[in-house]
This record gives sequence, structure tokens and C-alpha cells, in this order.
Amino acid sequence: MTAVSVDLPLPPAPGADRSPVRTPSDGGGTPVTGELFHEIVESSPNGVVLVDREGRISLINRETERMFGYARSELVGRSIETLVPLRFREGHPDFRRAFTSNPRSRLMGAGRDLFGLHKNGSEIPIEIGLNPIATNQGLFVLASVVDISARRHAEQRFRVAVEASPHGMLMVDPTGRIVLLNREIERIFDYGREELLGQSIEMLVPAEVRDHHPKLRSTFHRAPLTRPMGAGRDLFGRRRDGSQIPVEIALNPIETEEGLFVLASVVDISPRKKAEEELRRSNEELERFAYVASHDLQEPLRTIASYVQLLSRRYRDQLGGEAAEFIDFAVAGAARMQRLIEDLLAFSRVSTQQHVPQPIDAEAVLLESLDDLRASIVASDAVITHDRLPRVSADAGHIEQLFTNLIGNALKFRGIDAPRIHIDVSRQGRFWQFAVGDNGVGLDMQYHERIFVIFQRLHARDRYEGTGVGLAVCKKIVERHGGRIWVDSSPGRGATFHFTLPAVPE
Amino acid sequence: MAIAKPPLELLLIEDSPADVRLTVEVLREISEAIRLTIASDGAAALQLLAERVKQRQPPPDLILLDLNLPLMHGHEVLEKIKGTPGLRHVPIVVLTTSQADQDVRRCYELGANALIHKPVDLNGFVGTMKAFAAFWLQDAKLWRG
Repeated sequence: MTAVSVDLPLPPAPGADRSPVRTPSDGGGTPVTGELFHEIVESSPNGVVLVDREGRISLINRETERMFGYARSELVGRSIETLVPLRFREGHPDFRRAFTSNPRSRLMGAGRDLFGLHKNGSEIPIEIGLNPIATNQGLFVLASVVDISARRHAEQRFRVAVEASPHGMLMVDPTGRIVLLNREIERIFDYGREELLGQSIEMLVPAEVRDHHPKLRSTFHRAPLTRPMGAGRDLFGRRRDGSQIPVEIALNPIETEEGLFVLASVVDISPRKKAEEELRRSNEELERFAYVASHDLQEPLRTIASYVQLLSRRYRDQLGGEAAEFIDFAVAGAARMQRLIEDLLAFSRVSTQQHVPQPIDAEAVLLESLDDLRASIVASDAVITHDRLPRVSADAGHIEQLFTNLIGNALKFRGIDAPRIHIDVSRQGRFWQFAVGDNGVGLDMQYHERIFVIFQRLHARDRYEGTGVGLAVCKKIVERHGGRIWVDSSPGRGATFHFTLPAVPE
Repeated sequence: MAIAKPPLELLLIEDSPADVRLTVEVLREISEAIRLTIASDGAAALQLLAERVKQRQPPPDLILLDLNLPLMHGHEVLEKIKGTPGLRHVPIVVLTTSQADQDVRRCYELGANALIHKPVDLNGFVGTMKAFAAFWLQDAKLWRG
């Protein structure tokens, strides 16, 4: 059989036209000559195959030759099944008969993946649009064939990328059904891929929030932006056995012709949570240990100190000069150790005590501190001034200790002039930033961090008394309140300690 | 003219020999009019007190109780004494190094009459014991049936 030469209408794009059978006489507008029409078919970017009622190929174009690797002469007159892979070939005549008994323009194999058979035996992913054409020589079927290998490759690469991700990747369609997932998702939720595909995403949402979840999804659909899910909240996924797993989720909207898909990246944070928990427990244990150790050390030390003091009190005058000196060293050593232990206890108490921040008047607390320090203020002739201080959300006892330590420090590390100390404050977002500035000896930049470390001292003990705990306590107090503390200073130019405390929420 | 009173009897319940001796030494510096009886743990104290009740002898005038005792904690000793008719009128002063607030509250709940923190240095301890003696052995009116 040779190619038919008939006046044919333009082949519609696949699926573009669902109209019933049309005849050549339907066409309106400018008439198209046979030669021009032939050229149009030839140069179509889609493969064009015209098949007669018996399934024989009547006509193909250049793109069909390219796509399937045949010369025109090798195909025309052959059965269309030549181009159908063996695994589908047997059922194909039935499909053809079904089409010719109800001929309409439509996509072939809707929803299924279609493949053509290349001359070299390989399969080509394709899309096919079918158009029935009634002629005076009987019913023909015009198939418009699109090679979708490139698209399939892109999809394939996307799948490989998703699969290879160390994070769980999950895509849901506009109705919330899972359409894609990777191996890490299977691991995190302990489900097999087939158990999840097509299921509602709510299947992986813990029961407590499941009812609410569709509403959250529609909120996302109204404002689809790439963003972390549930910012600031702890998120959990529901595993197959009903247990919950802590996760972090990022949502990425993907616009498609079929609507808004969402690609979710899911990270299993249970190892991190576990590590945090262990760190917290070990810190607590350490605090507890420090408290108990220092508390239990206090007992025997009290005995030593008391008896050395009793010895000194009753017999010092009866002993020779050297013996008295030895006793003095023992008394001083015991006293110093007692101060260390007391400070250590105070330090660990900052975190072992319950922390109940309340709205407090920082100014009233400062006045309490100044009252505690009155003796040293008077002794050093210090002048202390301050701004009107605001209310903060804090533990009053701790803040009093904070002021007392910082001002006490400023009095202790005074210069030649009488100490001048000023406390000011400024608002910084949700925090108040306080500054305790002095005109004392100051300290070199290289020590600005170190001074906040417990037992770190910058001076010989005979110059400045102290255990090196005061600023460590300050740091702990401030950090317990969610603030930070730092110092601005240089030698000989005084020091300003800055710290932040949470403002009272309005 | 003042009538010479018999010396007050103070029961010290304390397990540490060093602390017992220190208390003895300090009290000796403060007053001659104290007769000190010592029990080195809770069981010994309770036995001593039960014996007095049984023999119809007067109990000590005042009890000085350490909290941190071996085997039977000071809280339990406190509870047992305050739960015994014939003993519960005896004032008990708890002397402790514990800084824990819940210890303080618990002691008063169990009927302690006072709680004093043990100062860590000798001068402090002497001062505390002087104040203790001035109040409980001189100012306070004790029941001496």
C-alpha cells in the first residue's frame, strides 16, 4: 500500500481537541493545498502517524522516522504494532478496536506511561494524541506522537536527586496525597514506599494535631513560600507504630499545571534532641555534684577552721613568734577556703534554685544592692549615680546579687581617684540593656572573656581580695534570664559592664 | 534575793565528736550553769529520753539537735520526740549547716521551736551560742515540772 493522498485537516496537538469525528469539509478559513499541507505535516515537531482501519501505517513524517529509527519505506504498509513494545503488543489490537468503535480525539492511555519501540529494540517514552479522520476511503486514525525522553530524563534526575538526599523528601499533591518520597522518609516513619504513596499526608501527623493539619495546609496554600514549618514549635512525626519522632520540616511550594504541590524536606532531629537531653542531664548532674561536694566539704573544713581558731584564741600568746605565725597561716588558709566554698555554693545555687522570673522594679533592686554595699561605698568615698531604671522580667534576688557583684567589683578595682560609678539603661528590642560604668583600673582586652570564667583572677591575692567567682555568677545569672553580659574596658580607662535582661512583656 | 536554781540540763544530739567538743568548749566559755548531756545519734537520744520517762525522771530542759545524723535523720528524731507525751513540751532548737529552704520549713512543721544556722567560723559560732544561751537559758521561761 502506498501513502494516501487526501486533503487532511491540520492534526490537532495531542489532547487539545476532544471534538467528535470531523470531516475535511468541516474546515473553514483559507483552503490549504495538498502540497502545503504535506509540508506542514513533514515539518511538524511531533511525530505524525496515519493508520488505517486495519491498523496499517499509511503515512509518517520526518519526526516519526527520527524517533523510531526507521526509514519511511520500512514502515508504510506495516502494522502499527511494529512500533509497540512486545510487552504491550498483544493487547494493542483490542485498544484499536475500542477506539474505532468510539472514535474521538483524545490522549492515548490516559494516566499510564506509554512507550514506543525503536528499531534498535529500545523503548522510547512517548505521549500520543489520537484523532479519528473519516475520509471517502474509510476511517483513519491520525496519531500525533511526542518523544518525552528528555522530560523523563529530567524527572529521573529529579528522582535520583530526591532519593540521594540525606534528608527525608516528600511531595504532596494539591489534595494532600503523597506522590513522591525517598528512602530517608521510609526510614524516619518506618513505612514502605508503597504504603505511603497515594495516602494522605495526615497519616504521618501525630494524632493530637491531625485534625488541625488540613487547615494548616490550606494556610500554606494561600501564601506559598519556601519556609520552615511550625517555626518556634517542636514538631513531631508519627511513625508506623504510633510513636513520635522529633523532626524539622521545610516546605517548598512547587507550581504545576495540576496545581500547587509541596515538597517537604524532613530532618530527623532525634539524635540532636538526644544529645541535647544528655548534655542537659550531665550539666545538671555536674551542678548537683558541685553543690553536694562543696556542701560536704564545708563540714570538715568548719571543724578545721574552728579548731585552728580555738587554738589561736587560747594559745597564740603562749607560743613563740614562729608558732604564732604558722597558726596565722592556717587560720587564713582555712578562712580563704571557706570563702571559696561559699562562693562556689552561691555559683551553683544560681542554677539549682528554681528560676521564677517576675516583673520587678530594677531601680528598687539596685537600691537594695547599694544598701548592702553601704559600708564599702562610704569607705571608698564613691559617688554612684544612675538613670531611672525600668521594670524587668527577672528574679529579684538574682538581680540584686548581679548589681552587688558588679558595683562591688567597681569599688574594688578602683583607681587613684575616688570611684565614680554610673548605671544607665537603654531599650534593645525585647530587652533592656544595662551598663555599669566606672573610672577604675580597667582591664586589657585580652582578658575581656576570661574574667567571666569561674576562679579566673587577674591580680595577685595580696593586691585584691577575691575568689574569682563574682563575675562568673553574674554571667550565669544573666544567661539564666536569657540575656548576655560583656565588658568594655582598657587599662587605666575604667570599665563598663553591659548586660541585658528581658523587658516586661506589654 | 535570788533563789539559786539548779543548772539547766541541755541535751545535745550530735554525731561529730569534733562538733560535740567544740560546743562543749564554747558553752563552757559562756556559762557555768549548764549541765550538758550528749547523745551521738537519734536512737541513743530516744533511748535516753524513754528511760527518763520510764523512771519518772524529768527530761532535759532543752534539746539542741543536729539535722545531719547517721541512720536516723534529725527530722525523724524531731518527729518522734514531739510525738511523745511527756516530752513534747521540751523546746528543741535545731542547729544545722543546711541552707535548704525545705529543711527549714520541714523542721518547723515537725514542731521545732527554733532553727539556727551553724556559722562556719569560730567567732560566728561563739556569737551564735552566746545569743542562743542568752535567749533560751536566761530570757525564755522554760517548763521545769
